[in-house]
Amino acid sequence: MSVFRRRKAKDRYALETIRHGLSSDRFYNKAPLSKRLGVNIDSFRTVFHKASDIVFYQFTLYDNRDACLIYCEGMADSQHIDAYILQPLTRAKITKIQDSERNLPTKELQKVYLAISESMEVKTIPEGIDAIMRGYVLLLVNGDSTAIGSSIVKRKERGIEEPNTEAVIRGPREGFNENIGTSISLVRRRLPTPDLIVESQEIGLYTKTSVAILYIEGIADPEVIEELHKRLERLEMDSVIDSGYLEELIEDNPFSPFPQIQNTERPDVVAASLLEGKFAILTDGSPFALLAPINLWMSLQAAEDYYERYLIVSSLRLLRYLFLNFALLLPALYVAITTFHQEMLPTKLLLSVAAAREVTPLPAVAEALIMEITFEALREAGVRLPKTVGSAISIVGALVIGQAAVAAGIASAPMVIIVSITGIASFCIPRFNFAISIRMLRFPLIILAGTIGLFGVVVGVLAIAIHLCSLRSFGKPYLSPVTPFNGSGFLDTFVRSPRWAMGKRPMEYSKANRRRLGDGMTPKRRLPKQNQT
Amino acid sequence: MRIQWGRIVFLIVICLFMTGCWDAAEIDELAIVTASGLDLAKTQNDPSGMTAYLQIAIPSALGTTSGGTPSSTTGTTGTFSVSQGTGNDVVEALQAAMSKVSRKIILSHRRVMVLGEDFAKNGVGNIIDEIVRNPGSRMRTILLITYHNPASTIMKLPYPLERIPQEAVVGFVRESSKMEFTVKDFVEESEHGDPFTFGIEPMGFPEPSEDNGFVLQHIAVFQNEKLTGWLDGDDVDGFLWLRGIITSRYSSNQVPGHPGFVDTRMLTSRTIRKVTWAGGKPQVTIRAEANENIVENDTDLNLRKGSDIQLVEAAASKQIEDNMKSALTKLQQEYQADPIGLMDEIYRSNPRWWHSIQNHWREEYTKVPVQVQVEVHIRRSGLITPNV
Repeated sequence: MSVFRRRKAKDRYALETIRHGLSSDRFYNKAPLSKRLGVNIDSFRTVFHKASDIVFYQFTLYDNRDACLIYCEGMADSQHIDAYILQPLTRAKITKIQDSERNLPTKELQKVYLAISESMEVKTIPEGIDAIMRGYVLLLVNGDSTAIGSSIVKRKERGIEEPNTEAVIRGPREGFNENIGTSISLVRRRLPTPDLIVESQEIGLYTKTSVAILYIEGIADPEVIEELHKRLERLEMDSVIDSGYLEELIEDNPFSPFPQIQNTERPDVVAASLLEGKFAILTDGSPFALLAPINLWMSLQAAEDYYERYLIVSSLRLLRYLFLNFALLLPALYVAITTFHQEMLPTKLLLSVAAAREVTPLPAVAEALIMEITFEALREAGVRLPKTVGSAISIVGALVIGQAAVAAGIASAPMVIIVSITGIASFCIPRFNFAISIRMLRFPLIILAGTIGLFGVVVGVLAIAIHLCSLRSFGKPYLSPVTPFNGSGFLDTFVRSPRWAMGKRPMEYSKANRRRLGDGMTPKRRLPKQNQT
Repeated sequence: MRIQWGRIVFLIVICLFMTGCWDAAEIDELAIVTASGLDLAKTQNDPSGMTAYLQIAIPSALGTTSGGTPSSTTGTTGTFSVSQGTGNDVVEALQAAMSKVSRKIILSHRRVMVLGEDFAKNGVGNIIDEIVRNPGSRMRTILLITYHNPASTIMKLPYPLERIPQEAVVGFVRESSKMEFTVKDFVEESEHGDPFTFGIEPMGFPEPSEDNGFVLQHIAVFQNEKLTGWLDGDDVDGFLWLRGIITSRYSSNQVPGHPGFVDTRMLTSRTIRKVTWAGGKPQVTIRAEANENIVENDTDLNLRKGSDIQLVEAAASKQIEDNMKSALTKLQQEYQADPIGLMDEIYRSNPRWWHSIQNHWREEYTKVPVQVQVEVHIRRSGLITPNV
């Protein structure tokens, strides 16, 4: 297809320009550092001439050599610079210096005087720029063409808070934060084993974002990991601000309304998923980890499902499935039945609906669409509003679409009920991105219902079903373990089976090392031994 | 070749909107028929023409249109309107009635079909055919015959308790028998013998008033498709027993030698019909069993005593037996109709014999000896003390 070929060529051209845009690459490609401090400082000053947050601190070493510290203000901790770099390097001025200590090369200086574990040697200007931009403190000494970068990175980071998007009643309350190191450590704390593989790489020409792939060797399917590597290697992009950037570029079907990669803020969810043979992608700067491969049923599982007792959880899950259907179908069914299939309603209900619709000017389809869109708008407005304004919106919303529209005879009361049930139903879905896609899909269904009735609803549902059957997440069928059927996975779909019944990992994600529970774990009722006194 | 998917999808979507919703009918543009009626009427062309009545619910009087509590208009004529039309046959009369309504008629919510007594005597085949054949009307429409009245009186009568009268009819039928008396039942019964159904009459007959509503207390007995007579009073109970479709009810029993009444409430009932053959002739045994509780005792019987309980059981059995026998005599001798399905029972027992008498089965039917056995068990006597 000529269209695609042309587009590819254009992309390559675009990436070339991106790369040429980088100043470090443009001017100082592999340029080595000079032995003269003044030259080096000038070079860095040219690069950072418009970056006011770069600090050039010139001072004299204990042996009267000129030196300079270059660092990024705010990224490096200035107290630590004083204590661990400046003090050791200048203290010798006051005390006596032995000859052997004079004119030490920077490498030696670092070894002897700097009590900093993470440091690097810098030999070229681009390396130096890179180090400074990452928060390293660059030490340049006159007469030495090697500089030392010391990491005294002090990144301002958010504390570990309870994740807002996936709150639980029972279960851990830790959530990832924007620092990838902290996030990885949260997973590592749950899986303290060398089998937990953490592969890091940098993506993004400008952002140089650390991206870490996490999986458990021996459990995860090697084919999936290989596929993931291929998809990540393919990426050439200028920036990764959030894990969502990656998600869109590595998913299987970019045109599907259904998410093929799950995102989560919860380290416990990541750990549990890794143990099921999935992999996680953590991105620096984003508290959301990506999880794949996933299936449809996972969208209706909440983290809490595995912490609460199985009977409660199973009934809640069935409730979620029921309301998933409501969220998708209720308005469409209402429209179809009231405009095409009135005989399906009980007489009393029909008369009530007819009475309520008696004064409304619009046909049921139009009414449904208007009300649903209004509800979506209210929800959207509510998400981003400050909390203080939020209550105003909810009052206005409740009054407008709840009360006034009915009282004014513009909308009918049954429609308001349908819209509210649909709204509640869509909030029953634990995964926000899945709920959104369900909410989106109900609009075409309403239109189909309004034009060709229940037949249209069936056509729409079939189309969705066919699409879901063909959907893959990293090559794994989206509807597994229901179709293709797989017993061990099926135990954890519509209901959650008791833990002692799920002795094996779901087959579709891990083929080897499948046992996760010993034999005979089912609790038996044992009578307490009688005390013989 | 480049496939222009965008255009194709656009065209498909456009097609959806172009259908023009040909089958769509907004719910507020419908006339919901809750009941319909038919009477004989003499027209110019045809002396056996008929008048059709459509009872159409007025939704705005039945529900709330703009929030708030629904208007409380139970039991008034304000909740429905009646449209009528006359024609030579059912469809023509219906069409005439429909043409007088501004909205699209839907028959799918018609639960009650009322036929005038005269109409029923003339034969009900054509209207049954319409209901069964027309996909728009449902087979579970209850078929009723007006007792000594034209259908028009019932069609215009509200029922005090219900917002639309058809709900009252459904309630009556549900409370009084195990059968639904629908058109479907009617057709099935006419396969097994003669059909039957309830009669409907204004309450307070012969001086009906709007405040009283109507009542279902007679059984219309048909011969083939023509109304031949009515069962009333105890005969109705007896008939329901014979059919085995009687529901829980109270009854007062007189125990001989003990003045006063013992009232019982029937809990469960069962009727078993059995055909035996003696000398090449069939003989039917109908055996009824009931479990009853005593709810009132104003006699001098001591219900703590088993022998006294047995007296009550015997009295109760006797009463049921009398009712059944009386109904049976009326059906066999007076109406010569077989709504109980005795001949069907005999046919199943010996088809060959039935075929031999097929042509004059009604004659044979009147001669079939029927034995009635009733067994009543008193389960609980309530207070075990004698009458307080």
